[in-house]
Amino acid sequence: MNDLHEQAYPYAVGALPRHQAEEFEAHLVGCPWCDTEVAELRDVTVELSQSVATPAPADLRGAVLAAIAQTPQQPATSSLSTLRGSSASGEVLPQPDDSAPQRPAPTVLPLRRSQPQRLPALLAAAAVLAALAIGGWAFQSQQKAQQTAREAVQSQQVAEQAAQQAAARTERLTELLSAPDVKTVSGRIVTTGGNGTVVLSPSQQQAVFVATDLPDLPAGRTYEAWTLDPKPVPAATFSAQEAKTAVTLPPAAFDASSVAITIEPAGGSEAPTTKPIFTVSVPQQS
Amino acid sequence: MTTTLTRLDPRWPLLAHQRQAGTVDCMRQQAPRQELANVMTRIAAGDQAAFAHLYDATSRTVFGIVLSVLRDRAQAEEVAQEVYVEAWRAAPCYDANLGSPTGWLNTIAHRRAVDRVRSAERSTARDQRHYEAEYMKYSVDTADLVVKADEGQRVRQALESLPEAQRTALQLAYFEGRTYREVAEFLEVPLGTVKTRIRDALKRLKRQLGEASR
Repeated sequence: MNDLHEQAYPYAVGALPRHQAEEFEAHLVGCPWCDTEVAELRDVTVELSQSVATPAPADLRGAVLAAIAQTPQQPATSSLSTLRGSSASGEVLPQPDDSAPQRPAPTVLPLRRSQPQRLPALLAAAAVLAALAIGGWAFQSQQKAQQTAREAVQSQQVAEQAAQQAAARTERLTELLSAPDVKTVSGRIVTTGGNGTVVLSPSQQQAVFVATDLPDLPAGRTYEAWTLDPKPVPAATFSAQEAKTAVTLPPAAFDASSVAITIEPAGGSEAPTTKPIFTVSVPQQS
Repeated sequence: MTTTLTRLDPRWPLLAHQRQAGTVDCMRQQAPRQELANVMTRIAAGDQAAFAHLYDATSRTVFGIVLSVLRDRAQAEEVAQEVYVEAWRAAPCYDANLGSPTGWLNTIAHRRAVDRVRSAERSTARDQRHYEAEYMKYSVDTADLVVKADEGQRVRQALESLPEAQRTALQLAYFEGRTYREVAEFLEVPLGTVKTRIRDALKRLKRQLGEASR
């Protein structure tokens, strides 16, 4: 069985010696099939571990919490380094290994507050731009504006205004994404498995929420965003369509501990009436 | 002594970890996973209280697999602590697209235990541990029974339904942390045979466990 794909199985149970494991990890980068298989096998091995679950010694909890209080966290780099780069010595590689083949960075990078340098911010902004296909947004907004013009043949002014608004909005978003202190936080939307992103720039005093594939809600319902401090405060109500082109969040977002989205009756609520479908922590200002 | 992920914010309703056998459905499975996903986001932002929640939700599984590989409680406690410290340090790099938080943590735990065992131990000691493992299966601790029935019953049944050869290969490789070469030497069978047994065991388990959760 020399087929590299077959290595996925011993790899998943940790039965490959180190050099073979590294070889397989290099293979994983370029093989979606193996990648998926390993991910699924991870779910199986979690259950295997659960089959031998044993209460930990009572003093372990305190020891762990004391230890982490003294331990700095790594800055967010390529997230692949955690699972792939956890080497035999047990050390997680702090930086992506340049000599190993690298998959393109995940589409949205959560920024750490401890990254004041401009370059990572710009890279993250570029990544967000790529992922959110801002070109697609701009096109969509302009396309929408053009559609309005076609429908309202005589309202030339209305059409021009809509296009200007779309362009202005796109320009504001581009500015936001290229601000030196832009921070992005992405999270999973529970109901769809898709992603939503909060983008903030304190220097520009702009914060938005964007999600490109929220489903349209039935009549009588709206999405509502909340800033939590930690009490939920209404931030914005919006439709799935508006989420595609970014929902403006109020300044409270900058001081909030997190941002959440729920589904509420049309017009919004004063306090959430349903569990959040999306929650992210807001990075603290440095 | 159930492990319940306590609410992270008093405003949100408590999402208790559902444990009723046979009543698992998609939404309920999603809720605890989403809770842990939220916890990971907070941990990545440095929230130590959130990390304590992660510990409470996972410590029995982490300690269990580390103990299974190391067989020595003192060492297992040491390595378990290292696992959680590593998880804390690496949390900002955790990406939900690569897998669940429990899968991520379990991978760290198993790797660390295996690294400790392979660097420290000679094969004779390992063989001794295998016989101890077999023996320990017959020692019954009622507290453990209650806990175990709660958590791993489905997968234990699935393991018991495996053909003996596959189950043994998995036991030696995963639960005792051997390389497939070491398994082959221990069982005195060819390397290819071991790989096939491990693959078939995993495929079978994946199918059975995947079906059960629908």
